[in-house]
Amino acid sequence: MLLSTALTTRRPRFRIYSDPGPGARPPAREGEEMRNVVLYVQHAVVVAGTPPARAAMAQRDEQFQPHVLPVYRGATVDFPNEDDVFHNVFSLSSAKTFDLGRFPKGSSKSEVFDNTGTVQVFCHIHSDMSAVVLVLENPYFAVPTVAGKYAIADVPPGDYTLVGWHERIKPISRAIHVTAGETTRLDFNIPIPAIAVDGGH
Amino acid sequence: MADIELAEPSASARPALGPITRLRRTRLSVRLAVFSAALVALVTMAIFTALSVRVRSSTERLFADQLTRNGRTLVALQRDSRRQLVMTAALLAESPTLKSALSTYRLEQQNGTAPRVDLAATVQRELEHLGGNLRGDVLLVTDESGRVFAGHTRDSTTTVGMNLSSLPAVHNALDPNISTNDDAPYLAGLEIGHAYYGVGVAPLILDDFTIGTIVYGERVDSALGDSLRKDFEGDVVISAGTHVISSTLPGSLGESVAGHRLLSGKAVHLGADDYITASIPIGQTQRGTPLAITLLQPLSPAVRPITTALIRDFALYGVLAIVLAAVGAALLARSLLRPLRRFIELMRQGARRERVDEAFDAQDASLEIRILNQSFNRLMASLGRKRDELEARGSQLAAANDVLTDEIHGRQVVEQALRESEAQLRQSQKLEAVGTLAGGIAHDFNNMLTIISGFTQIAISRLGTDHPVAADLKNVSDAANSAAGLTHQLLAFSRKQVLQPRVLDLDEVVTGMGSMIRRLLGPQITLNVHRAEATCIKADPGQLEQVLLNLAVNARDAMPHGGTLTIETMRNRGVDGQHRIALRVSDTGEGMSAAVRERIFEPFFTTKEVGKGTGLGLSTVYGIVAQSGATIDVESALGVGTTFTVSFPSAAESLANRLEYPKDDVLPRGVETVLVVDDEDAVLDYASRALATCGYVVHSASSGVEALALARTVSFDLLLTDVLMPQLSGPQLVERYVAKYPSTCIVYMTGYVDDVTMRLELDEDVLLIRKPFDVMELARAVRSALDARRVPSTLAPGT
Repeated sequence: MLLSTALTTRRPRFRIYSDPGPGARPPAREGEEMRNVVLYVQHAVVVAGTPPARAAMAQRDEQFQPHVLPVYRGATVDFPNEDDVFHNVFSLSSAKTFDLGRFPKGSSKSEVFDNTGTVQVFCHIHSDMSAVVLVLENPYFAVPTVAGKYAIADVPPGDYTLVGWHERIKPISRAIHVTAGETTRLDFNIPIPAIAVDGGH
Repeated sequence: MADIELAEPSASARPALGPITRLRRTRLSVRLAVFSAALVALVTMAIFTALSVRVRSSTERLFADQLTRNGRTLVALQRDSRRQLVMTAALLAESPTLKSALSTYRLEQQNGTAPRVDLAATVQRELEHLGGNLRGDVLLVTDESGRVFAGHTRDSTTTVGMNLSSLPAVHNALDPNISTNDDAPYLAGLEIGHAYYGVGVAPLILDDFTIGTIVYGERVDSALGDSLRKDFEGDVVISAGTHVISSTLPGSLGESVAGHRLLSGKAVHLGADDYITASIPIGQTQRGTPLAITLLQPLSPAVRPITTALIRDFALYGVLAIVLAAVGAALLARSLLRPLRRFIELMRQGARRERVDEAFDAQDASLEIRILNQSFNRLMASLGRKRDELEARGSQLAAANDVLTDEIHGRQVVEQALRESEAQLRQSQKLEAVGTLAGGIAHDFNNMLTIISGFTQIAISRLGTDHPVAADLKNVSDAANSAAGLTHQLLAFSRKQVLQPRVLDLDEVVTGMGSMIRRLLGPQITLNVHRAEATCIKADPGQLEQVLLNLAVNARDAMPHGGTLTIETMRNRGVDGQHRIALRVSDTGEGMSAAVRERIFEPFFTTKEVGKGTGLGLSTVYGIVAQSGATIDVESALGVGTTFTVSFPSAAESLANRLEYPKDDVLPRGVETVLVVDDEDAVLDYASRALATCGYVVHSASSGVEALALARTVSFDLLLTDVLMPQLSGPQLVERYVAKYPSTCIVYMTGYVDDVTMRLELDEDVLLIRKPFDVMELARAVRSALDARRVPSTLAPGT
């Protein structure tokens, strides 16, 4: 899997005349951008009886961690506040509109995501904070490693479409045939991070 | 003379004076005062002019500096204000509502979901909420392509959908690669409808990604101009390109400012005033129109109060200075002139000769005055000496002047005499000219008459007196003789007659003249003639006639109203015992004074009108009388009459020795050889033939040279020659001829009288006949000359 940085660039906080404030962060490293990519299989039949998952999106250093969180539909996501300051978690997205209100360090609030779709999450206190909860129709998805490798396990055999997703680009779709007992390799070239990703096992 | 020229013109004669001339003639102190005042005024004016120019330029520079500073401050303030716009935009970009709503909307739209009206409304609502609480007039949100997503303006103009990507500020805000500490890249102008804005642009950043921009700004309109005017005392022009948005300048002057880049800090002439300008750019709008604020500081309101104050001060202190200078000068002049006043008085007295010798003491005066005093005293002493000298010299001069006056008088007399003699000379010259003319004519006439009468006589002698024609020829001869008388008179008038003194009887002459004199006197005058006996004298009869004639004419003119003229001849004995013959002419006329009597014999003296008398009458008489060895006396008494007495020596003895020609009519003849010389052919011919008739052997020559040539071959007994001839004259010929042939007899013939003839005439040895001459005269003259020679020649052997 390849990423190219040609499309867009992250920028530091906009500033004129002033030095970076205490809330300023160093720019994100390019390798970490790989962690904002999601690869998921479309239209796969989910084995009945698969329990809803539970995931967490922490608020740490005035950022949502992770920035992109793919979850299987019906999953409960916890939003623990690990910073010293108050945070707020809310969303205006169609897939899930919610507002968890403000809560201090150490406390956590959770939300259940029943509908598939992209849910953009913001903090009303820190307007620069944002994250995406990608609610998918099946649990067959993966986030590549910093090295760009990914692996999706337990995908039922069949012909699918594998989608490469990044919040700043249109999703890239590839056809994939999964044979039982075999590992299918598929390389993506997603025009954001320039790191090749080996197929999963 | 010089004194008169240098004298002052009298006051009454002085013409109306101009002010300058009048000033020039006025008192010294007044002149000094006026001059000082004028000088001070001039200097004051010059200083004022220089100062006002200096003040103006200084003020200009000062205001330029001030305005530049003010402009800079205003620019800085404006920049701060603009930066505030950017800062505010950046602050507004932190709105979580805006970010979340916009981001969510954009993401969902990207994913193909139907546009979320609620999210757009949320953004719009948020904008209006924020904008409503801010001072700004425009607040826009664009997406990452620069298109306006939502907007709020003070006047609620629709802005959604406007593409602001052409604004560099928006482009810069969207570009994450641009990072700068300057606000300039984020400042811009903006046009919405007909409204102009100055805006700042800030990016909307979400989680390190730029998702759009915030555009925030204030309207650029007359209100801005007004608010600037509050902080700035000058004029403000706000322009969009060449369009004037707002102008505080009078009239349409703003349009000449709009669109022109004015040089800051330099004076620009606009309308009636000069302005110092400064320009603040706002930025270009999305359509490329530049928005700008121009500050203008008029100079005249700043300079005028200073100038006015200057004028007032200068007028005040100037007048004060002028007055002080005038007064000071007057006082100075007075103090200077006070000691002089006594000098002037002293000089006046000196001029009136009152106090020349008095010295003036000014020991207590200033140095200059003392020097003046010393010089003056010396001058006065010198003047005193000079005066004495002058007086002495004056008396000398008076004496010299008397002498000079006498000399002048004498010279005037001499000049008068000179003028008179000039007049006389003129008259004399006139007469001389007439005489020359008359003499010339007489000469020619005499030649002609000689020929006429001569040939007539030859004809008569040939024909014989009995011939019938002889009587006619005698008449011709007589007429020729009368004509000869006329030419003789003519010559007498011109005093060119040949003197031929001879012994004659005075009585005969008087008797002969009687009838002529009577005619001359006219009927009013009675003529008495008394004669004596034996009145022979030696004189030229023609001259004697003239003497008598002149005396008679003189007597007649003395008796304009009639009287008696008495002519007497008398014989008496003179003081020396000799007999004298007197001719007395008396009139009963006016007589004459002693002064006139003294001068009557002077040539050209006349009491008659100019032109009437020649003034030569009596002087001719005198001349003739003297020439004839006679004397003349005059007695005269005013109102009684005048008597002239001419006294001749008696010629009683001479009368017997008188050379008598034979009285008969027989031509004396001869056989001698004769040479006749005359340049006139007719005369030559006549004389030759006449002598040939008398029996002589005659040769003729037409010139002296020819005669001399002829004499070499022929021996002549007698030479008959004309006097006046070209080349060799008669006497010259004779001189040469006689030198060679001394025994030859000489006879001259002439019809003209000149100096040569005069000399010959006076020589008694020379025989001369006057033209016209008849054959008889010629024959007698030749014969007598030849006979006279014979006598000595016959005597010669005997001695």
